[in-house]
Amino acid sequence: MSDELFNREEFISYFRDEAEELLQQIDADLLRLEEFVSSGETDPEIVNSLFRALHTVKGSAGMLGFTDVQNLAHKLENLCDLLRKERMPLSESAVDLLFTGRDLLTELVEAAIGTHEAPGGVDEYIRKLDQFTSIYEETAHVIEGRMGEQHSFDEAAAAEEEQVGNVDVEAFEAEVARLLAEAESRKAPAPPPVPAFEEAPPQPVAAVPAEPVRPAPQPPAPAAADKAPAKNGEQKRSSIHQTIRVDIERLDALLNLVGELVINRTRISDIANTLERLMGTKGTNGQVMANSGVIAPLAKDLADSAGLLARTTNEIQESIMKVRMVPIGQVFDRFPRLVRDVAKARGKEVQLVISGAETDLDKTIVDEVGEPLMHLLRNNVDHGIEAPDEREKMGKPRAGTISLNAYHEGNQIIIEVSDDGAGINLEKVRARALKQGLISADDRLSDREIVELIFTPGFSTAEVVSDVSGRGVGMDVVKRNITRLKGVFDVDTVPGQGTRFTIKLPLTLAIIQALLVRVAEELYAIPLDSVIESQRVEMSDVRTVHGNEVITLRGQVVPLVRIAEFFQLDGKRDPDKVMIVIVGLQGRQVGLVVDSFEGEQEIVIKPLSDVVGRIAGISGATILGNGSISLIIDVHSLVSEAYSGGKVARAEFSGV
Amino acid sequence: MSKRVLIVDDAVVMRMMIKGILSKNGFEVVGEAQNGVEAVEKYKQLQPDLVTMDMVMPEMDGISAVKQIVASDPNARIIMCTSMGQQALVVEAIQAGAKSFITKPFQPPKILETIQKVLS
Repeated sequence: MSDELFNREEFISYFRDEAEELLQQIDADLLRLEEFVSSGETDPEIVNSLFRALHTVKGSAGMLGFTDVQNLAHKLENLCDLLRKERMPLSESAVDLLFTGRDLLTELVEAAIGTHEAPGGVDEYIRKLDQFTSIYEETAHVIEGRMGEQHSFDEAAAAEEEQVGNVDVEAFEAEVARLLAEAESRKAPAPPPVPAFEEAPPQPVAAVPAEPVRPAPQPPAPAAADKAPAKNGEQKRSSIHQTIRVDIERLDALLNLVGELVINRTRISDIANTLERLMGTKGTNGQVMANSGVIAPLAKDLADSAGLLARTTNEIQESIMKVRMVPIGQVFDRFPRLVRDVAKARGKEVQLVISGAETDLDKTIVDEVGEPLMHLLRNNVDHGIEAPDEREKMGKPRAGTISLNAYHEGNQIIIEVSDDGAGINLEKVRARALKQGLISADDRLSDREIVELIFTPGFSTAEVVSDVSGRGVGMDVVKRNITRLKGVFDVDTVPGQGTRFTIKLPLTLAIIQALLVRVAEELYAIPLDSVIESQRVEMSDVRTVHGNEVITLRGQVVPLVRIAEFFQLDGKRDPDKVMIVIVGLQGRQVGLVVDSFEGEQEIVIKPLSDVVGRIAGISGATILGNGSISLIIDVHSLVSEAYSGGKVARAEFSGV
Repeated sequence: MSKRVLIVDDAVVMRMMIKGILSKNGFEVVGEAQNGVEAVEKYKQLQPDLVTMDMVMPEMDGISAVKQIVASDPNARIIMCTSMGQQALVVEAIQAGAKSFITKPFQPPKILETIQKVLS
């Protein structure tokens, strides 16, 4: 193939995207097909769809010279063809073979584009596949006679596809010519397209020379070049999807710039406000009075302009956010197969119900959330859903149901993974944690605190570490991943009825609303979505329990964290009162003690550089409108710290 | 004046490939379609001089598309893009009114030669 005719790199990237999509579709089709196994019948539309997808993969792989991919796709296509023509009944073993084949094909595609090592066992698999199909193919040959011969020709051609040489193509084309001639002699009065048929005798085919001479292009090349601009316009109009592919890094760069713009917008608004305020204080300052005649209109202009700038900036920001949004279904798509495989391996019957796949969120988060969700689903099948017999005894349907649901709520996306399984056994969790030394026998833990022990690193209730959930892949890993995305991970469980995991994620990671507070002369930002309220509390209402300060808020004990002391700043305590920001995370509240509240602001999160490293209690930094830097408080770690070691439970027990 | 071509294939890679070969050899690719239904629509709309038509596609296969296009324009020039093993289908397509066929994986010189023959 003349390589100068196309940019191979570019084609491979198209091939990769296309193959990925098709393999995903094949997976979905197989899952649907599997449902027909018990009836033994086949839905022709599913099989056709499978056949077409495999055919396309085969064709594209062939063009790029990926013969391994081409060969396997061809074999799988053959199997589907047998199903399609009802020469082979639909059976569990056929579907299993197709599943395995689809996975091997995926690995071969990855190997071909160089993102993966070549998988082993392909030859062995193909042997198995050939063996499986051969019985049916032979039957087909007997039934079909002539057609059967064609099939064996096809097989022979495929077998030699290691190098798709001209010889095969010629043999094929000669065969077509012969068939055409035969068809022509068989029926003299051809149907409607008679003239067309006469114009298209098999000669052009038969006349193809073994080594075709490349014909000089009819219109000279310059003419084609002249055409280029017009052609581009045309191309745009007639392109199939009105979409373009953009490198995510470019979008990241754009978002970064928008971040700077947001900072400046805030700054300009600040200046305009200050100026307006000064204008308002006529008379108290003679100088302002004197100039106000000139400055007042300017100040008004600035205020108007700042307002406009703010609006436009908001719109740009929203637009760029939308550009980065992709449906979470991209991640969900691969889960039906995962659940099927895990359930099968564990001898369970599980139905996965997905809803809200069209819910949008930031591409970066979509990419990151797949892994934790995968662990969760595995865990649900593995530990949540009971064995079919056990379920039956409890009066539940044999097949368990796992629901995966996504929806927007305010500035967040909520993903729920729930099952109708056994629920989390609190006694068992407690016993296990005790045995593993995670808690001590006299720790008094609330039910919630017991449930949350499953998030502790190293915790596992599974009697045997199964190969499915892997090395006892812990909930701690899931939780850590979610937390890293500034998300919240929560669990509700009802023994005997099931468990629901809830993941709340921000729609974007870059820009958030924050409450600014002052502590020991420094400004800190607290993400607004975790702020419940801010309060002034008299010192007489603050109690000390086991050395920890707490207040009682609407009957609930809330531990206090003095920010100044947490960060070891030189703050002085106010003997009379404390200013408290109540932050909440998963139903647990903490009062952060600050010096003063400085208002709300939209901030752009800048991660701390590696030089600074990870600082406990700080999740990042931001630049404020006036150019100063403010650290962003990591609410999660402060809440965890305040609740560590059952401090609060002890306080509750003490009857505070 | 360069000849105007409509490319019909459900595979992006195939469309890109054919488009690349044709554009570099003085043809003007005026449209692309990814299934038979789109092919019929775009044929009516664009009235191209030539169509390259894949066989196996979702929605409507290549042969059905050939039949519909030829029914509305008996002089339509359509070249089938076929894989080895589809001889019965190729015959059917040509009987339905396709002028010729090219076999995947494509050899650029051969595509051009087949096209020249069909256009002449």
